[in-house]
Amino acid sequence: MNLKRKNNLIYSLFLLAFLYPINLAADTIACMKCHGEKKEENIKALEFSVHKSLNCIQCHGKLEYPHNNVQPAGCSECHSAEFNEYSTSSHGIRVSSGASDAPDCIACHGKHDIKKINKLSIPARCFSCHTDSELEEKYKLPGVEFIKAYTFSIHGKATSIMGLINAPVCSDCHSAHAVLPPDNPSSKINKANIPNLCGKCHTNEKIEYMESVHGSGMQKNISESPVCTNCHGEHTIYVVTDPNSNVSPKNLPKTCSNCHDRVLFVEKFGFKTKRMTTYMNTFHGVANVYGDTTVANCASCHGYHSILPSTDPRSNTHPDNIPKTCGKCHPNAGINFAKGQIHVEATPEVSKAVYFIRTFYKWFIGILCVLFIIHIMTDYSGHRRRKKSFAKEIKIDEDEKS
Amino acid sequence: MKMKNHDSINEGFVDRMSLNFRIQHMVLFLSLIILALTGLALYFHGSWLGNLLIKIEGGLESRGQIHRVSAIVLIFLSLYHILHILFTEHGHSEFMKIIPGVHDFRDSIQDILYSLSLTNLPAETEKYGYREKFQYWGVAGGAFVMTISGFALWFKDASMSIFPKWLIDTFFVLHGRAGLLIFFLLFLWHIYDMHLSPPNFPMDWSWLNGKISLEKLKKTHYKEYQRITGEK
Repeated sequence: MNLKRKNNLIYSLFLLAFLYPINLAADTIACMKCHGEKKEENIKALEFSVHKSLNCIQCHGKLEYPHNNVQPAGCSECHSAEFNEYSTSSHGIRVSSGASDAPDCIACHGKHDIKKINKLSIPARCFSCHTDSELEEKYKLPGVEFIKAYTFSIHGKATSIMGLINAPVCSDCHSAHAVLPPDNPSSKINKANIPNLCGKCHTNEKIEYMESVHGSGMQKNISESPVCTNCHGEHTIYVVTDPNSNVSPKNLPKTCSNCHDRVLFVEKFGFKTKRMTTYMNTFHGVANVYGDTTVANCASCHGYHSILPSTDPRSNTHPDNIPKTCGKCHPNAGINFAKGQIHVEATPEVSKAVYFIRTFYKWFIGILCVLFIIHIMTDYSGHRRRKKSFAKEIKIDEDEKS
Repeated sequence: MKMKNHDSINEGFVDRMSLNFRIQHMVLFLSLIILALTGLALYFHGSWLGNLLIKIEGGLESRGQIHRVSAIVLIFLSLYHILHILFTEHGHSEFMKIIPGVHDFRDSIQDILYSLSLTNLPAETEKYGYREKFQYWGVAGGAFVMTISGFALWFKDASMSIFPKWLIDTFFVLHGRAGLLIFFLLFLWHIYDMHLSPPNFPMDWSWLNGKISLEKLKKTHYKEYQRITGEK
């Protein structure tokens, strides 16, 4: 704070103190006759709040004396837009149905000491209720762990550790007043609205996603199509280099196969089966499991946000583009290399040679193992039997001698 | 019958493995055991066995390095073995004895019948019976398949520029399965025959002293016994 501003502040504080009795309207002075001593703290708080220019009755209404049942202050008169959003939100509906534990305006904004909300303080405000396991259980909310996970996410760390004011806090995604459950179509976190929500900040990713097979499916209202959160998580969004991330090299195969190995989806959308297990049995998959982060995972070949089916000429995995895609790591992969299947189940229709070798060795090893076991068993039992009969012969000889 | 020098009887023992063969055998089994342990680690990746083996072998990367070093040892041994057969009298004459024939099939049937006490006589074989031949050609064929497919996988960038993907996939599957076959059949069978079978337990000492007793030779390789002793 520079000196000039500091001086200005001190000056205005003096002015404020000097003008204090004048500043408050006559009604306020009337209120202060009783409340001045009793509720000194509140009045003082008002002085530093955004409402310092308001007088008591503007919020509390004009009251006859004595007033035993004072209605709480109404905010809707001035803040009608916010109030309308709030009154149809999960919070508002519960308050109007008489739930004492649901938040009204003052629960979040305070009473007389209302200030402009510091964005970075929002998570703590929401957590004051949403990390209460009883409340979470009572209203069938996703649970304390889920809520708290935000703290450790890249968004949570950006706000709490790095103090980045641009990073999203609760209200950026859930909205401040129109907080609604995700199954409500007008909720900002409804599945259909997620790409736009995340796209507010992640613009390029949204553009790529919208053109991808996942994005176009979403736009065609195919409810199974994944949106941002299906891959990246909701409160558990981490940077891709974080091993906890759903989209880290190690976790990505599992994340993709949540849908691509799901029998229901495989049948409905005609996915090729066993994409995960077949990938896991490639050198790429094995190296990935043992912690090699440079080896190809799903996204290395299929793309990240711009995933397209291999039948699309723009797709990284279209046969024409295979040399280029594989060439990122294997510069010699040529047109010839594109001939063949990549991590699909080796059935006779698609991978004749692999299928043949597998079947041949399955039977060859199987039959030879059986022969081998028979050979060992007969050989062993033969030795035992001969030894016994030999011992018997010796005994007979000895008996005869004696 | 004129006796050759290396067939001579010495205090009731006959030479069975020359020093050269004993050294070849040791290099062979050492490289095969290391190849098997490092190969099976990859084959059974993701299971407790694979994880344990990979851990012992110092991770996935060093597993591969150990595997390839042993492969080089095996390849040089194979080349030496072929040169030895082609250009030495000893190697050539031994090789001619191990070429399989129809009688080997009959011998194997007879041995099984003998083991089941369905006949009174075991198979009468020359120096290399059907067991030795099967194991020798199994290892030879296996080493050939593994070398070819192994090279295609080792020099992946080169093979990616020549071969289509389906062929590389085939080499991959072939390498794994053939390796498994060699391990289960040849290695385990050989361990049974030479170590665990009752007459050889705890082991047939020929691989160390290069000798076999006449008594044992009579039981196991009767035709060779006849040839050496001149007995009828």
